[in-house]
Amino acid sequence: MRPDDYLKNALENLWRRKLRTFLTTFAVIIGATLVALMVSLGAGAESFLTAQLSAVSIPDIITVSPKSNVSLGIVLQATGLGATPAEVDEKQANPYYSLKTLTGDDLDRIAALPHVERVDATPSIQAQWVKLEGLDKQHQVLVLAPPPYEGAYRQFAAGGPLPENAQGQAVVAYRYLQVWGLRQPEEALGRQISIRINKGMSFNPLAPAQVTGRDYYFTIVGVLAESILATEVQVPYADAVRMARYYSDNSRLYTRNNMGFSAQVKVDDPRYLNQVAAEIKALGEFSASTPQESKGSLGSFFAVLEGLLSVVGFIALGVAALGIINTLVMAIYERTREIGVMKAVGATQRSIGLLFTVEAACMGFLGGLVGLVLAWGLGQVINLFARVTFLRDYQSFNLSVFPWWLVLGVLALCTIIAVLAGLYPALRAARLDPIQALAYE
Amino acid sequence: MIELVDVTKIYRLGPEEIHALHHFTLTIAQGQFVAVIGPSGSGKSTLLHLIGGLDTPTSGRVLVGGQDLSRGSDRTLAAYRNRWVGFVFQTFNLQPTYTALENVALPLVFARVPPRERYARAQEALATVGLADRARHRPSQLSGGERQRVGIARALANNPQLLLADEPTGNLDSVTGGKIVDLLWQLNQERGLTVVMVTHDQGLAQRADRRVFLRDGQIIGES
Repeated sequence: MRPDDYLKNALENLWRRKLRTFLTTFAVIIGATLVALMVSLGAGAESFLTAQLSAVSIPDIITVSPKSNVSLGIVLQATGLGATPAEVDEKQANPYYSLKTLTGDDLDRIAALPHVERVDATPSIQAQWVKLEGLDKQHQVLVLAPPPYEGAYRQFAAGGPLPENAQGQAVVAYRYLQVWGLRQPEEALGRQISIRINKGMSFNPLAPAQVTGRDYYFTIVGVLAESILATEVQVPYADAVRMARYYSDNSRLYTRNNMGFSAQVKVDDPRYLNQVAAEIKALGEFSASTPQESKGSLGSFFAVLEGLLSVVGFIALGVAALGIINTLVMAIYERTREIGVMKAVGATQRSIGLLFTVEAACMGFLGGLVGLVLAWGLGQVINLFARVTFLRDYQSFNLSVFPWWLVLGVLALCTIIAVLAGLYPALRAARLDPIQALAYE
Repeated sequence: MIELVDVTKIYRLGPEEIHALHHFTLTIAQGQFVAVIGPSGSGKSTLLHLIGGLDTPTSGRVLVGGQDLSRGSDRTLAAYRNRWVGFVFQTFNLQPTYTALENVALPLVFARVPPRERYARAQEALATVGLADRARHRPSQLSGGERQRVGIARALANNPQLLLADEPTGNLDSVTGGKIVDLLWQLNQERGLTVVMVTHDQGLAQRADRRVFLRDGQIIGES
């Protein structure tokens, strides 16, 4: 038979029994809708996060941290769970595992690698809040001290990056304008903010007044363009070090013996990014990740998430497969004599088998197509709802997106599942004895 | 043109063996109109199935036009049925949802004939049996005789060498049945088609050039 005849025959047979076709493909539609919608939500969230992270990440830097010996087993052991009591080393701050820090020598070794332009420690600061001068309200804050070159990669709504060797100056995230009641980003320039750092952490709920803190003051010189980092405040490295030392009550923090837990490596040519990262890892004592690796990890995370969210959809497709088998087996009983006639006029077993296989494929494809359309419609409703509620601050963001690979993937998935379901009925029809089929009543 | 050489066909129904044909030998020349007559269970339909390539013998050889059908593969036998044979059935076996034209075109679908040519040839076949104006009618809109003529047109669609008719008048009244046999005779005379017709009706069998009588899977006489 000609390929178009297989398709025409399949569609005619499906159309002839419209209700049965609809009932059979209904489960395919449900499965396809669920899978498509869940993956579309995951894809939307992933594309949003990826775009936002791309806007704030630097393409030719490597994030470096020391390798630690922390593992799940060791953490469990630290809680007292384990086969035998572990030996305790009094000299370690924590008897069970050691959290190494970077040293000046470590940074020098990394800086000596080929194609490394510079290495900067990135202080970690635990801040309580940030407050705009003249306001009573305090707001959450993420204090960062990026190396000076990062300023060239960021977009600014007003002002600009921190100058080289700055002190007492800050760059704030766009979202602070809203909570500070400022209409224009320029209004923030020159205003003073205070950042509260508390010394250590207090575990005593009965004595909160014993927590001591210090306020650090900065003048705003820049307002970052809107991004996912809604609470970002950038301060100069020297100020960040002072704040970190106060928090930890450790004046030796960020000196050569202790440069913290994280550093940022800039390469002189982005083409050597992966090579430098590999060389850092090869030193044996550090872990290193590039923006691409982080993006890849994010992609893997969302792939797993989308898979888990789609489980119900896959179950529906499995049920649909059983429905397709049942429908086609019933069709064989109804069309037994027709199959006999077809064999009598020259149909091969292969032709008969393909007729039923194509019919199954059509059911899968049509169910997948309708499911996609339904999922798209539901996705638009979700997008609309999100834009007027919890995502009103991100009007350009679509929570549900349908990239080409999702459309093709769902269609292919539904069609393949249907074809596999149709294999048994196809084989059964193909092997019908023509004489018995012609005599069938 | 058709040769059955020492053919035996045994069917197994559970533990029981049924000898449908028993050391059967028959030769039919090209262009002959042969009527095969016999009681139920005499092997008439089995004979037709073997000649038509719907079945293969348990032993012996079946040769048609030089082709040995005895051990043919599914693909070989299907091609043979498509190009060499036209079947006419007692119960017509028309697709109820197809029009007469679509029913007649069915063999041409499996011959991979393009649609336009397919329907043109089907229309010609319908004209041959006098039903050109019934092309768009469904079987339910046709009389018994008309349905059988559509069946004959379908058998002719791919220009076969051989027409095999299994009780073609079994579901028709005597007058209509006579007309159908007349049509088969006409096709035999005008086109030189070899016709093998299985029938109970000895009166209709008189139209054939030759009559072969079967009983218990063997030939018991000819005329």
